[in-house]
Amino acid sequence: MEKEDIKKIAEIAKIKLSEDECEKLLDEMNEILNYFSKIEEMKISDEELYYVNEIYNPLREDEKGEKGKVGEKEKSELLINEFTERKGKYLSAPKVKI
Amino acid sequence: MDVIENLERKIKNIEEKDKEVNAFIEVYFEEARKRATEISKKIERGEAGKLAGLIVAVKNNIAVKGKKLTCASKILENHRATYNATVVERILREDGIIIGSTNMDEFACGNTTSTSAFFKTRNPYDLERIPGGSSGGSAVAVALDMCDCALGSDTGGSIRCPAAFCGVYGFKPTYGLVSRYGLVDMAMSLDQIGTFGKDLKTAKILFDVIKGPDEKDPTTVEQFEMKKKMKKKMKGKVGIFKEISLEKDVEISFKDALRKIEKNFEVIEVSFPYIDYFVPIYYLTMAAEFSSAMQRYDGLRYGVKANRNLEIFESYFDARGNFGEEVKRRIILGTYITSKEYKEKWYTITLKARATVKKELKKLFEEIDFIVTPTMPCLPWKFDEKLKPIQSYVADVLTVFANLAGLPAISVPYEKFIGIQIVGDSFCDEEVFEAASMIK
Amino acid sequence: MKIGLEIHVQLKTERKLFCDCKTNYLEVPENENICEICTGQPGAKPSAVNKQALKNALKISLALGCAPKKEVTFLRKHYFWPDLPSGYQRTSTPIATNGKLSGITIREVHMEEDPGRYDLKEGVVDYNRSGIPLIEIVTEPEIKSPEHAKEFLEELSAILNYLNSSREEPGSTRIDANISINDTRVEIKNINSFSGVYSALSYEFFRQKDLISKGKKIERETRHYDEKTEKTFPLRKKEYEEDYRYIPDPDIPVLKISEEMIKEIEKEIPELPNKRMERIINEYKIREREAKIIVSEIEIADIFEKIAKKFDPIKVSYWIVGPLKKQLNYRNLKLKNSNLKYEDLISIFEDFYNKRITEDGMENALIKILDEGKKYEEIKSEFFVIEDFEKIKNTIDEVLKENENAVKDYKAGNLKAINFLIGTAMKKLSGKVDSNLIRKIILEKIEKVEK
Repeated sequence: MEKEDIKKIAEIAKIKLSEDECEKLLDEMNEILNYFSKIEEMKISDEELYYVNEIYNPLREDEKGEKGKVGEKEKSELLINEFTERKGKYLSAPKVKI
Repeated sequence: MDVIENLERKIKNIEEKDKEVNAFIEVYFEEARKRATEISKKIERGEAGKLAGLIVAVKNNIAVKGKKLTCASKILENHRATYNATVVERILREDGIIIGSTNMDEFACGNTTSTSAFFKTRNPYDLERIPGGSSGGSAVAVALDMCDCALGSDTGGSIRCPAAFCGVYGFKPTYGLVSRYGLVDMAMSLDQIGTFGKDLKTAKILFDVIKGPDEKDPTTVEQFEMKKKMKKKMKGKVGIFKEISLEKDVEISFKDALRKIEKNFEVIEVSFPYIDYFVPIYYLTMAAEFSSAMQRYDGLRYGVKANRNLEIFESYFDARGNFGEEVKRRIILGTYITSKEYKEKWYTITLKARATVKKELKKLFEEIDFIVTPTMPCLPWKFDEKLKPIQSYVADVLTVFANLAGLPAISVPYEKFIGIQIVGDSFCDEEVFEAASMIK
Repeated sequence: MKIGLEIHVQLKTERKLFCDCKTNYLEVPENENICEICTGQPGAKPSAVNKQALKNALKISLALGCAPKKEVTFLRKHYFWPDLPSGYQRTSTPIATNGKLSGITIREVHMEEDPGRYDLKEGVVDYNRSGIPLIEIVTEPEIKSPEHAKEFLEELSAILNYLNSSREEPGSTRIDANISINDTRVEIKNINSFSGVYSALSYEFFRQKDLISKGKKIERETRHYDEKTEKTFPLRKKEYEEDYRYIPDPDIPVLKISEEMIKEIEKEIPELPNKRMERIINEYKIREREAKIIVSEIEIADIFEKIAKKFDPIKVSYWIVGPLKKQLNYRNLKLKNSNLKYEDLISIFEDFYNKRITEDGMENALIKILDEGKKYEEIKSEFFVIEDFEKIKNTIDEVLKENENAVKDYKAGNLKAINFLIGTAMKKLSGKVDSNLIRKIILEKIEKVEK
């Protein structure tokens, strides 16, 4: 990895890194990736593992009416209370000038 | 022992000893006492659930409604869960008493519990040593009788490692047997919630209560059906890896344990050429999924407060600056290997390598019933032995493969700081508990 | 010119794609239809995929002639934006591929979840919409002009109307278009209506032609369409293109699409607009011009066939395309969303056909039902033709007496003056007499006088 790579990746992941942190991380990343690169020696199949168990999605019925909607207001109040900043019942977010 | 008496004893242990070891993040003494009174009455009426007043500690990455769900991170320092994890619902339904939330490595990133943003948890047998991690708090709480049993999460050994270092039982179920609904993600295809107990019976009863399919987590499966499909035949054989290097003390203990195992099983030395790749495959898989799991932390809907007066992306940087070092490291690693240019080189290869390792392990299990290893290849190191990231990663070599293949595994406390690990075939969780009972 | 479209439409379901929150987000206050799943709370996981959403998406795909896939995987598409609660959007691999509509190849169709609504000006986010199921239809860049795109979208609109599997309220559709005139691709994002597409593409076409004629280079860029000004504007450039780091979502097991499900869904697909138009033209022998408008809404096609079976199809077709459609369009209504019921329409047409009401009377009746929600049975007597012959004659006498100048004009050779007399009489009679009858009586009277 190059320093530019770290900066670019940090930008994508929205992680702020100081120059020092960048340097340190660069060394650590390279050491880690170096060690991990031995994976290239491994003889591997073509199959890729995404899911541990071979099951299919059970699919969920689309319920009409009010089933499961008890305590809905209470739930949304709890969630709105967790918002770190709110405007009434809205979540407050930065304004963007167009 | 009477439920209320038991609870008061646990509370006393916490009040006396936790200032030294810092196992707990938050305690719920008031509610616990209320519940104990209620459950006491239920027991008298013969109506109590399966846990009947057992005291349970819960790792702080598992949602308990209304309680702080911090994952030991500044980013969630003041966040309260708005719902119960399914496992918590099941514990409450069976009359378990939740006594508090336990400390962990920040977002489960580590095997020392010292990356917690709040404080480090100490090994109860040597306060200068790590208790293991990432579920260190839960292991210590059980070890010091601050609870009867505890929940932890295990992605690459996070239950088994601290269980071994703290001298308690730590069990990770087959992937899919316990609902992850309410478990804050580390790596979705590796994580499982599991149990700690000071004896096998307690660790197992907690597992029995929390296990089972959950419609809220579609990755859960029905054990019996899956097991039937396997048509597993037990052969009375146990495999041990030829090519593992162990610290001297661990090796001695392991050989001793094997002598006990030989009384009930035929022990076969197995050559498994993929051991060297366990750690890379695990860390690359985990980092990729972890970087995805961390995308939601932006200081808007919960946790640390993002500065709304900043330009939109600046506010993201501002909030996410509250991640700790190890978390940042893993996010960077995961983002890197899933980025456009490097995806083929790292991520795709990892997926293929994982498929191969799983296949080979399953092949191995056609010939044997269990794989037995020491849980950790070394003793718990001291806090001031500053390890480089890669050095702590390689200590996971013996635990990660169970997560890669989704296999059930238990750490049996053998000697001080040393645990023996039994790994079973998929869905053979009960058999693993049985085998564990034969070691001591 | 090559144009390709990516059309996002909300699917019609009761509950969201990955949780049981209700989908009536336009009817409830902000942040009411939310839960830990659709607000991305720590630890929350998506529930199993909404079965109706999948079926609706497949129905639309099959109606577009696509071949369904056997397995579908949901991926995580990562980016940061406040309306995206998990920091990634769950979007699927194609559920079907390789269809055709209006001569254009449909490359693929897939499903995804809607994000919440972020008001950038106010600085607020509402998550009611977060998690609503969407279908995305991707065409090959084979569309040749803005007009062609308009035709394509009209056909698509009619099909969606027939299938009743998607939402039709404003805001339920979003289109991204890419247009290249000379091999440089310009992307236009977030057009919020089918009609906006024609405006956006037309504007782009002229903008690009203008640049070419001035010898300037067309930039390969992403632009944004503004509804108010009907123009496109460049979006902020980024230093690098967004990398979404797609990975299959480990929390969502693979979806299996069985042959049984496909067969079930195929049975639910009604006769589609194009086929229906052909059949209507053949069976009822009406003109293509009227037939095309009749099949644009399934309810209109249905009512046409009901009435045309009993009466002269050509007259029915004129009536539907004329007065009925006129009153609906004026109010921006679809027949199914209006107060007009089938029984009403049949009765109205019957009375009109049998001359119990005049053309004016018929339109007035439609207006009254549309605007006041009355039933035709209740109000029809107001519109019946006046059968009191005496009254008609007396009124016409009045008109002729009051408008002697017009009578003189007519007699002097200005034949058009009679229309004024007829109109005035019609007004006095509240449109409840056939205009031909009025004309007849007026002429008789004038000639009588002459004699």
